[in-house]
Amino acid sequence: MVLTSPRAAGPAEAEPAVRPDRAPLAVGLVATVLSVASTWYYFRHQLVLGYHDSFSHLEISRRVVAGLSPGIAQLGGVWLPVPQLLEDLFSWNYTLYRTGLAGSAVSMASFVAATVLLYRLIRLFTGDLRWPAIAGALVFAVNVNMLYQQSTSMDELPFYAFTIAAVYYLVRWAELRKATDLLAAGVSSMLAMLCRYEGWFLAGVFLICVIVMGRRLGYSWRDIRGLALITATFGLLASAAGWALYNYLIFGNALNFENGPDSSAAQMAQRHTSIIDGSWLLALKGYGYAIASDLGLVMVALAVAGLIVFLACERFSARSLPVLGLLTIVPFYVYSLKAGAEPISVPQPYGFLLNYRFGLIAALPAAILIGYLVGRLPRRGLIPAALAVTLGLAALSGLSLARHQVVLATEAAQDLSSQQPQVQAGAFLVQHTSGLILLDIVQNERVAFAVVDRTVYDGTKESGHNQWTAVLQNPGAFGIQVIVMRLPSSNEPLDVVYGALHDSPLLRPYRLVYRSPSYLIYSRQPA
Amino acid sequence: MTGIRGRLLALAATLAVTLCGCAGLSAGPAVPVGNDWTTPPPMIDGTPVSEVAAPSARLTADLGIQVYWNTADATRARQQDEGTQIFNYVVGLGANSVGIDFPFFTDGEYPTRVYGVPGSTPSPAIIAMLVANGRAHGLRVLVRPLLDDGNIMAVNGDWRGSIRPRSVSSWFRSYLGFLTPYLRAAQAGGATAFGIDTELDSLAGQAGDWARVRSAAATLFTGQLVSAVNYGLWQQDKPGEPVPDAALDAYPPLGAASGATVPTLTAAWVSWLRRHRPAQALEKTVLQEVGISAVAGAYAAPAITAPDGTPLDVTVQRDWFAAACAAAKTTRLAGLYFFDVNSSDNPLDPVAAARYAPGSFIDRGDDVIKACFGSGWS
Repeated sequence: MVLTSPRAAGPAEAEPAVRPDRAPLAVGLVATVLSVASTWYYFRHQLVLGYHDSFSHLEISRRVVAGLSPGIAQLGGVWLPVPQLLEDLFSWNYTLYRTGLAGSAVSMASFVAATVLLYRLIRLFTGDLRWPAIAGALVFAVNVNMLYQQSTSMDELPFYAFTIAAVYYLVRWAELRKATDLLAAGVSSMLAMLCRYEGWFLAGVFLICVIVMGRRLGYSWRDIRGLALITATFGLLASAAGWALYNYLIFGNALNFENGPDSSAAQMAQRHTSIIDGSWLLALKGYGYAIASDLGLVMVALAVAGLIVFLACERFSARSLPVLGLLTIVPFYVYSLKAGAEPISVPQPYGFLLNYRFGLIAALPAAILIGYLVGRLPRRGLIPAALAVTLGLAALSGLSLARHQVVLATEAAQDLSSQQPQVQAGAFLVQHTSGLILLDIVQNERVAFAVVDRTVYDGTKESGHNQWTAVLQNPGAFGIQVIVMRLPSSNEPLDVVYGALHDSPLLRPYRLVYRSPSYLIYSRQPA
Repeated sequence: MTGIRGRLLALAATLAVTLCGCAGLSAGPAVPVGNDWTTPPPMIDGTPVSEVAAPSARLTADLGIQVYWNTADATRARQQDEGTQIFNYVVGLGANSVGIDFPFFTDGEYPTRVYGVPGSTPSPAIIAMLVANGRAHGLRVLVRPLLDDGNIMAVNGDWRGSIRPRSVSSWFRSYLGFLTPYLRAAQAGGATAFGIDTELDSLAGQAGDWARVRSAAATLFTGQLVSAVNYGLWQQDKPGEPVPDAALDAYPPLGAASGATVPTLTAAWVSWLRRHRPAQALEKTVLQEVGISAVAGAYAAPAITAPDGTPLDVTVQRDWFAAACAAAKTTRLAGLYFFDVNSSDNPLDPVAAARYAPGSFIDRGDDVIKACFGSGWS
């Protein structure tokens, strides 16, 4: 198999510049300062942990390294594992876990990496011009919603970093035609796939890109088959098969993540009302609002302008295809929302914000396209344009922050508000109980967050055997000191502990010590 | 090439300007208009809760709707949802009070005991939940056990107000035993009033028994203990109700013609009220039930429930409500409740509402109720 192009090397293959490029370092430093400042700001405003899911990610990572039955099986079968595994680097420390900073650290590092990678990616298009790449990278870094998201333990930022890495290496392969770049793109795609399920779609798109790029670069079909095999193996199949195998080994169902009891599909099925309800128009409106709210119309408009210029100038060149492939995430989201695979809110008076973070990924192609747009300006206007774009968008972000218009922080704050019954029950557990706690973790993550190390839940094992069913049948025999039940409500699945033990004689050794409209907590009475 | 580039940039700029002009969106990152709250609206189990407006809450008058709880066989979560939905409707009508009526039973015309029937009588826990739900809406809540007279009527056409217990004191003991957990539930939920006697007119003279019930109830429930007599007993002007200034379930046969106007009906209402009580007493009287079937001829006997399927004449009900309201304002009554909404009703579904019994006012007389509650009260 020939992995170098039969065509003559292009200008981009010229010898590396004599002067080392210090701009990535500068961009990285700026991103680091922004990252630390933002995390500090939201930490002080107690919003590092806001999203319900941010607690889930951290709890999973904590259970892998601590608690009653630590181990790889605690990764669970729904959330993809890489963000939690990365958080394990920090969440072994209870303080970092409890404050949420264990998750923030991962997102922050990913944010800096993504910013630097964006710089390097745009440089592949702009050649020796640094300012367009600086502008593109900083457009990404100064976005106020990106800065909020990188302060949290959510999985978006690791996904963005690996996705940008995949695009970067694919474009680099188109430019330099080194097989190692294709391999690196495959590994990046593999890691992105193990962060968020959108990565699975993009992995398929990138595979198609490789095939088309191969043709555009002049490879033979035989070579293209080999190149596609590398990409498919590392960038698609390894992750998919690995995750399916894990699900099979742990849950006995290779597709547990897709059709299991806590999967996204199961959760969507439990929703009594679908906001989008199969409407293309509503899906488009919902996602359009999400993008516009996350990025702002100026950034969207600049990106659209950049796309027009990009299409006109690149004319579907090989190196342009990964960027265009990345753009397909937008219609993919619209389709997913329309199909009911995910929910998103549509603006309405006093409405809840729901999943506006889905629109944030548009910042990745937008940053690339804006950098590209600046790079196409006459040389004498480059620096002023780059500064104007960066400072202008930074000013809009600053204005948004000053006016409390950071949509993702608002969404997280709304989410946090709705968790108050859980917060109060969780605080009671911390302050007034000791010993093992029995609870159903689903929809009770926030209750268990601070006491996760002494929580018996459906993933707790002993001597390799899952004890959940046995504990539910006789909690006293297993030394359960505290039993937590969520009272039934129409918009949540039935709490398993409530279903098994409410009004049961097994509760006789326990005394009701906490009652709220949502929770009952029982404590074992002294013998 | 420069020309093409210039045209492209101009096109891009045009697009940018067009996009920036989109209504409701911001140049920079922003929260959609109206969605920027961070303190959530009040919710119960995920359903938004409407709250009584402050001016209405401040009124002395009780402006209410009686809700008959006929879904005791549903799950707790379902009943919670029904409560939230019905109470939202009640608040939407401008009410500041709601009565939660629920059935209990006694064994016939000559009864010996009082009991609840699972599936028909909501449990005390459900009542506590519903009371708390109503209070979360900012409503005053009257808990109102209502003796079901289905088995009382069966033989001789008697009703709850004509029972003759074989042993009155024994029956009262049973009654108090039945009420006790509901009084506790009302207290736990934060109810503002509890109906210890609703239309038990034949027992009105049992002063000693009522005193014992009232005394025991007062140790369990710190809100107002109320009693309501039916219009028949009320218009006999006899003394003897378990609490002073008993409320009135008002179905007066005013003798009005079918096409009577609202002023005519109002005059008849005012005349009837003033004929039976002095002004001072009326100012302490609450009409605990004002209702009528929306059918022609209903003025002759407003208490009679027209059978399902009877052709509707909505004007009859609307005019009756408007007249009762005007009369209540004229005579400065302490308040009035319109009767009734069932817990199984869905006020948001006009198609379903069209099939409700003739006595229902959903999508019929309810805008008159809203207008009634909207002004003229202190």
